[in-house]
Amino acid sequence: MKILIVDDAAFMRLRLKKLLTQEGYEVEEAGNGQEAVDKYQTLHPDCVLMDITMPEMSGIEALKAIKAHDSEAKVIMVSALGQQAMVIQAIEQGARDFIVKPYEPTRVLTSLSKVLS
Amino acid sequence: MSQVDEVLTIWGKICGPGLDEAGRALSQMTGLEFTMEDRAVNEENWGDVLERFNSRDEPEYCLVHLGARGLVTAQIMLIFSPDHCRRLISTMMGEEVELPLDDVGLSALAEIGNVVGTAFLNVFANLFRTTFEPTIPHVLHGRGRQVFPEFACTRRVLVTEAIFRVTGQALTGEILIVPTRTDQDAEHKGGSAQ
Repeated sequence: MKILIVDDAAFMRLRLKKLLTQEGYEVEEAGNGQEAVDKYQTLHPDCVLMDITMPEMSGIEALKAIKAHDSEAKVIMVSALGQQAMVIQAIEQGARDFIVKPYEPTRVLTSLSKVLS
Repeated sequence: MSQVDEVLTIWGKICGPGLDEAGRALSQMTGLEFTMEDRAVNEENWGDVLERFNSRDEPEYCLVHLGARGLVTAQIMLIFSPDHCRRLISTMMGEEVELPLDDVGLSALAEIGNVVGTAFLNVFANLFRTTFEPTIPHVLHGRGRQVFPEFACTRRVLVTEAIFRVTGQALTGEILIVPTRTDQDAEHKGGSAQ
């Protein structure tokens, strides 16, 4: 399974990549929303883990763009913005799940397993 | 009383849960057990706040600054001495790091600011059934007041502050949260961006 990690923080990409590769996932990375949209169209990942607060294009905008390109896209938002209104907005835009940072590694693995099943 | 004034009044009274949430986020993010100490919410001149940091014995700081927009705007600052910053990032990276931090270390420090600051804001957003959108955090390193954002120094601001300390270790940092009206938005005028 191929996972696209989208986060402007290199440290967070590194941490998630280590977790997912240990679990046998193939991992691709993007550092902002626009790069995520571009990579989604060329790499066709099975799932996207998407931060919200990023430069150039936010995670919500990238989510909309990816869903416009592929309505079946599986996108999980991974953000410190655990505000109810933001969670609702993301789900309304088609996100499959919402993980609030900081998170336990098992929370990410459980969510991925559920979304990919 | 305007809606903004009402929000600021309530803000001053219920910062405790916000700081609790910030402390929990910091502990979970770093794997260290932090406690929040010396909490205070005071209305004071921003210039006086800067002078307190400026007049310390070793006034050199690593500062993570992010803003937030919502019912009110807010400025959030996490402040470390360079050595405590280095030790905190070393713990997160699982290896000793040196200053100046490399890109990964800087992004780890910025992410601490993002997660801790946003955890605080989430409490207020959910209470007011609204959203506070944080800006991208940026890291600055410098001496004294030059590293802090500049408000109009004569304006009185509501300052929420606390010291977070790792249990059993001499590792501390400080958090400053300043809600402002839109006409008091801060700008960075000094310090070296990292």
